[in-house]
Amino acid sequence: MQKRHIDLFALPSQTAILFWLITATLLGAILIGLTGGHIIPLWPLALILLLLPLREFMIRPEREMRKLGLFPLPEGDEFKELRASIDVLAKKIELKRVPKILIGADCDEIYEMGSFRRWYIVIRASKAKKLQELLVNPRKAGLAEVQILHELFHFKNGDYWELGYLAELFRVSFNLMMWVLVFLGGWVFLLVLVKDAFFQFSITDLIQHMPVDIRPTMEQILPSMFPSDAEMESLRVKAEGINFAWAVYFISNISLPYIAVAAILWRFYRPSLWRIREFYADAGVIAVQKSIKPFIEFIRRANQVPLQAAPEIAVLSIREIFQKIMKRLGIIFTGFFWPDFSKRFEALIIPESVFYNWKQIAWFLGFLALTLEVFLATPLSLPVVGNNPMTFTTLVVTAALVYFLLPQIVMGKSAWKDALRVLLVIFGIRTAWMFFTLALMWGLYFIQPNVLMEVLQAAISSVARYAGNDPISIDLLEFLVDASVINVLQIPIIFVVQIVSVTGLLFLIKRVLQWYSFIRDSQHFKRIVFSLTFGVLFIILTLVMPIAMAVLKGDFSSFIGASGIFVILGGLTLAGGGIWFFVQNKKHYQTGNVAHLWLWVEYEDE
Amino acid sequence: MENKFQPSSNPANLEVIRTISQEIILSVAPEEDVSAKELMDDLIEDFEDGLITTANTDAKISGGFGHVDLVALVVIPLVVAVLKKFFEELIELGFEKYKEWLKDHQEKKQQLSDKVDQMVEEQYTIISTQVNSTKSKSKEKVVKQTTKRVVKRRLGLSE
Repeated sequence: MQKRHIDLFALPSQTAILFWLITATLLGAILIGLTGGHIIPLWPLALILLLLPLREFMIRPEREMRKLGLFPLPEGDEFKELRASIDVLAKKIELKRVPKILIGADCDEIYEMGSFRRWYIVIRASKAKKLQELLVNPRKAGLAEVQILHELFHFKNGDYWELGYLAELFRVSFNLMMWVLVFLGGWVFLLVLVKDAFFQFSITDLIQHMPVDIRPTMEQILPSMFPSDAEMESLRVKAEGINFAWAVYFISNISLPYIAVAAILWRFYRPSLWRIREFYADAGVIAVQKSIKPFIEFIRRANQVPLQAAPEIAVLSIREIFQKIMKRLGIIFTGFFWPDFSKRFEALIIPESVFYNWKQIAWFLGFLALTLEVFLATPLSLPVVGNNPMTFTTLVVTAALVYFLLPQIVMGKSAWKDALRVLLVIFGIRTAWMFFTLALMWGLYFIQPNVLMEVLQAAISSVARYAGNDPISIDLLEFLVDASVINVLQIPIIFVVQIVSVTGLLFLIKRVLQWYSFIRDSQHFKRIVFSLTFGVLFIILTLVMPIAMAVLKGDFSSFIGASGIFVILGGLTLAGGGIWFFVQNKKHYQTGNVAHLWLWVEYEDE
Repeated sequence: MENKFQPSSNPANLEVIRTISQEIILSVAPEEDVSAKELMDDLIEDFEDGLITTANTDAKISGGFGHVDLVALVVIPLVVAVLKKFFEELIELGFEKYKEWLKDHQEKKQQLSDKVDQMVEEQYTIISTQVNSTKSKSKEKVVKQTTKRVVKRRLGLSE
């Protein structure tokens, strides 16, 4: 019997949420670290980091073909049914284009890959034969179709580009930032080596060391090639003003935090994304087949072997033992992707089980906020430089939390308690980190004030992007009191901002769902949620956070000029959004439940 | 008297195997309860036909489907195998007449109980080696103990 289940595709997909969360964090970290004033211009590096992954993503299929020796499925009748089946099923699920088949001798059994316009299903040669055999047998064709549909839904769901792009973004990020670290570090090291020679360099001395017969010629040529004595003197003064230790520290500070953030995202967040997409591909198969039976039968049969009375105990070769160890190490370092089958099955019977619960969301976002705070900001930066280090994290957490809690709102459950719990966990994690840092600083103040002074000099130089030799003059006690008060106070301010914005957004979305004849379909709903969320984020960025930080620091001077224009824009967005909401609410709101048929899908689950 | 144990074809046997397996799974891996119920009848039928479903932990081998790593893949065949051996080798009765027979053979209870222990140990080794479920390997002790306990209770033997 067909039963009603929530349609996973009616809501913003968890795969897309995770993709944008990881991508926004990575790209945000790039922009925060590499734009703005620096002792050397770093915006070209930011541009390369933005564009190179895109280029690598576009040429990924060709690279994979060369690397794995993949070739197009041979023309002719041998795989006629396989080709036809992919063609028919792709059209059935309304894919924009039909993926081409690539065959490999030593690749994974079956997977999808592609760039924006070129889509491929890669199948191992032996697997292609098996699929073909199943497809020519009318009683077994359904089993092959399950697997083909599953791969096609990775295209339909956009997994091919989201995962493909992210894989390249990670690869390029690691390689490029390691290169930056080595290259710029090498330059600074070279400068340190030649520093003394440069300070003592004199054209007159150089000419005196040359053979006597060429000296007259050199006396005419060389002075025009080198800076004049006055210019050299000026350069010397500038060079003497550079603290090379700070320069090395600065280089490591623009590359290492980014590498660390990327490594944490890659190890702990990427596996969740890779894993969750499988639930969506499965849901697509079931939505087409209107029953879970073929899927379950496929899984069983695909993994079935004849029962042996007494299996032989396998003696592993050294190579096999090595492969097992490497596989285990691979899982430790990269995380395990594939979901347990019982979880996938549960997701078909109870699709809501795909959505994260509040504990998972709390640790997910709490750890992310901590990572960003540890690597991209420092408790020192707020009182010294005046930048608010948590704006970026506040925006990321607010958007992600609302999207993660969306299923609860749609299913008519109250989500504000879960929102509060999640934000309290993040608040707790941030507070613990803040007090730990402040305790360290106060501890050093009483035990080793000189060390604290050096630490502060390094941190302030890095945050201020300053590599000069002039010592930074600060009163340690006054600085510590300021840093403690302002940093501790910003935690509740951000907490309140997040509570108000998240619960406000959840209320708006809930109310929109109660508007009669307003939401047309799932696409319209997704657009509304997107507009509301990003409208609120814009208001937080331009209006709420600048005002909150100005109140915190008691300094409103920053509102004069460009910042003031952004505050006005934020205010206008708030007023415009408020009027729109008021008008629409008056027009569409009615008490009682509004039926949203687009939220449901029917299929047999027993 | 029925001298060939039919796990799936005989509805009475099928029902007992279902009940025992479900109880073990609920105790050992409750998260698999839903999927185990769905897979159960087919796995029992497969076992009767001499087939067993293996856990493929490597996505490279099983394609996009990957990771079929269930305790149920070991527990269900294990229950079938133990009961099959029990009835075929020792009693040659179906469940229908077994309890009546046991009333008259109380002195054999301990002997049968020991035999169940031995069968569970033997069959677990045979089945788990083939199924290759890493999840059940980590729960080997509890799977064996629970299977022994539940099967013996169901057969009216001392635990």
